[in-house]
Amino acid sequence: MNNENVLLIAPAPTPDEVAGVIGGADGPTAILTAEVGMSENLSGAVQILGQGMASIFVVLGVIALVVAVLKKLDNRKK
Amino acid sequence: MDFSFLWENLTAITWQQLVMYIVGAVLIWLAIEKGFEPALLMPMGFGAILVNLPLSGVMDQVQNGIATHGIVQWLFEVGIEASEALPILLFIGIGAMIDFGPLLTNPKLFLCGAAAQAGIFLTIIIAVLLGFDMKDAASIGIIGAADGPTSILVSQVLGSNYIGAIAVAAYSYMALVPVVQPFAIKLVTTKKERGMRMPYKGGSVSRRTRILFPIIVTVIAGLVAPASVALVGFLMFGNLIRECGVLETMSKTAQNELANLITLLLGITIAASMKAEEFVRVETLLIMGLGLVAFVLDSVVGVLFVKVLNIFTPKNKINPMVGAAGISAFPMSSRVIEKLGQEADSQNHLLMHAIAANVSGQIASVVAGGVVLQYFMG
Repeated sequence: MNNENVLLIAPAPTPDEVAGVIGGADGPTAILTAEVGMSENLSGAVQILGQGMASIFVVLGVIALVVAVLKKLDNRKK
Repeated sequence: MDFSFLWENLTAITWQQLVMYIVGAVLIWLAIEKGFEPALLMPMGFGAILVNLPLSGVMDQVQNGIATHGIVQWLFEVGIEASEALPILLFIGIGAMIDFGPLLTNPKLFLCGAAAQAGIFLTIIIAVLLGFDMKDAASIGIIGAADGPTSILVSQVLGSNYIGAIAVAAYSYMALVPVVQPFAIKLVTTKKERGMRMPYKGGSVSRRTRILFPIIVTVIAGLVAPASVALVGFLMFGNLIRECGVLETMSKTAQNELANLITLLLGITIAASMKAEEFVRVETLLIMGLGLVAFVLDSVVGVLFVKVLNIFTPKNKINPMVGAAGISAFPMSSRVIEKLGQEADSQNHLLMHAIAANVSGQIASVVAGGVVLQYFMG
């Protein structure tokens, strides 16, 4: 396993861990570690966007359909 | 005799606390002079001064080994931190105030409420790009729900470091909807589009539908996003009290006494998170900016969504501005749409359609809050 693979499966670093890497006085490593954390957060944020909007549309879409059915039933009674 | 104790506290005031006195004064001024959400901004402004007095007795203190307990800190710990009781209970009052009738006569407008929540999620992405961690970014994004109690609840549950700033941003922008929304709407609409007329058919909604509606909403939201049940459930419980027809006194109590009492306590309690050392920092300014971005994006996406919807339903077009009313800021947003519609065409009346989209936004915003919580719980 090369170093690249290790980095990809590693969990996102916490701010303290990033600060620790800065303490390692190794510029490229610090930048890379911070970038991995940011890109993981970014992919999480995109995932929330997708899941969130899908859930909201499903909930409101189903409610709208049920209300439309109730409305039709009301109209039929009249 | 030593009288130094008289000015000991005066010299203990930090510049950050001075900033908080100014913030408190501005909030009180906005509430009283400008009428911006006075029920919330006035207690918050006063609370901001109260908690930032040196060794303030409303917060827990330890002096010379003697611990004293502060009432505002206790209220915060019990009413918000431990149980989120205050923001959740407020939803009973809000639910009891809302008439979902206009929405029930035109169920298509439910979709406007859904689309206008996009600003929340787009702002989360922007906050992450600005370097906030995921939980703080999500708490900041939820300002776009345009719903103060939801913002407080989500940021509290996620353990955000910026609850005070988020609450101030959420309530300030709700008050500023008449300024923010016309700007955002005019960015993406033409005068011709704003003047588009929509006939209002009205029609009555049966008592059965009005009673079944809150129960159905709770069950569907609970099944798709269980974390939203506390919010949606209490909102709909309040609405069921209103619509059932046999709890008239309770309905009025929920709309008035309960809502007023909790609003009063919530305002002063949230001030516990406005201590100078937590509030006076660069991130607070960023959060205020991101809150504005969230409101603008909500409105823009709402309008664009309706424009796309109109392509697929050419015989039953909706005025694109109604999409912007899908945010939860009720009823300010509806009034803004009505006013803009009449500016474009003096005979254009969009109020009832805008109200329908607006109350749909109330449901959508609490579902959004639940969905965000669900993401971190799952």
